[in-house]
Amino acid sequence: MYSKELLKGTIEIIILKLLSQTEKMYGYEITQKVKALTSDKIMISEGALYSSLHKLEATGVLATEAVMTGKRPRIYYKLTKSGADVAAAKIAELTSFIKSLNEVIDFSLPIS
Amino acid sequence: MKRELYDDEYKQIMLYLQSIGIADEQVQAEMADHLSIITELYLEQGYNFDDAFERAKNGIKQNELVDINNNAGSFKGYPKFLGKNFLFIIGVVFFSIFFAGIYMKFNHIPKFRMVIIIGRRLISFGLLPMILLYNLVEYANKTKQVLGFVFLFSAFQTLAEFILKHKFNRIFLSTSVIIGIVWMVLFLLAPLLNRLKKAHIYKAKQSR
Repeated sequence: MYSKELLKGTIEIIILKLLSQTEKMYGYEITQKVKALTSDKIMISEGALYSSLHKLEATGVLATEAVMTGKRPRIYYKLTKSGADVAAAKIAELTSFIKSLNEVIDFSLPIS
Repeated sequence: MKRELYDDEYKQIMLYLQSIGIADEQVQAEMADHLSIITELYLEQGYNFDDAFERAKNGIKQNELVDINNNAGSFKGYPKFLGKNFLFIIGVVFFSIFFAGIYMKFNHIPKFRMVIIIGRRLISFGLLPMILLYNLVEYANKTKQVLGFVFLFSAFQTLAEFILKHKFNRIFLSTSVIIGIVWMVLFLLAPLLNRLKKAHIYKAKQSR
């Protein structure tokens, strides 16, 4: 598992990336998807996840939809039109950052 | 076959959330669903409901749930009108009042002191906190920070005046209190009443 500090700046981008690939997702589904994709290396806490989702919703990047699942409501998140642009910009920025980081830290070398 | 929660079990989860102060309707529904999914997973493993729910609760700490609720309230309470244009307009208005007071002073127009103080107060307790709030969009606890700033600034000015002149400046004191109350109404009481109202509506729906 990675440190909180390392994850802090990337949680929103992870959420945006997942939602840009899927029409809509709910909180628990996001945590499980991230766990599965990273072989349990990235585990997003509920506090960090929902705070990021609520912030992205408040800033108009995400929209919510309540769907009845059995007898209880489930809150799904999806990208808004402007949110899709924000997601694309943030993903591009992170990609560029990783490329720059690669120039400083040579990822092809074995970890000593 | 997947064992789903019974109505009374789901109500128990909702009651737990309400008991720890999760009043926001959306957060309540989300957290109840989240806890329900985890509880159902434990039920599948053969635990009874009480044990399964206890284990689900252990996975998400109580203070984490409260933080999620508070952060959501803070994000929703963020005034949407607060943008660059709004700040520019009120900045121009507040500074105009202040400079009008300065102009009145140099032209010996009566009541200049009052106009200068009003202008200064509006800049200190209206414009500056709003600029701070605008720049704190990345932080969930911005309401607390802005309120803290306003009260500390207000208390500092009133106290400094008292230390220097050995008496309370009535205008300083009263304007500080009024502005403090306005900020409290805007950022504490209004969102709180809104959340309580939502919780009341939700409870009414639940009991139907």
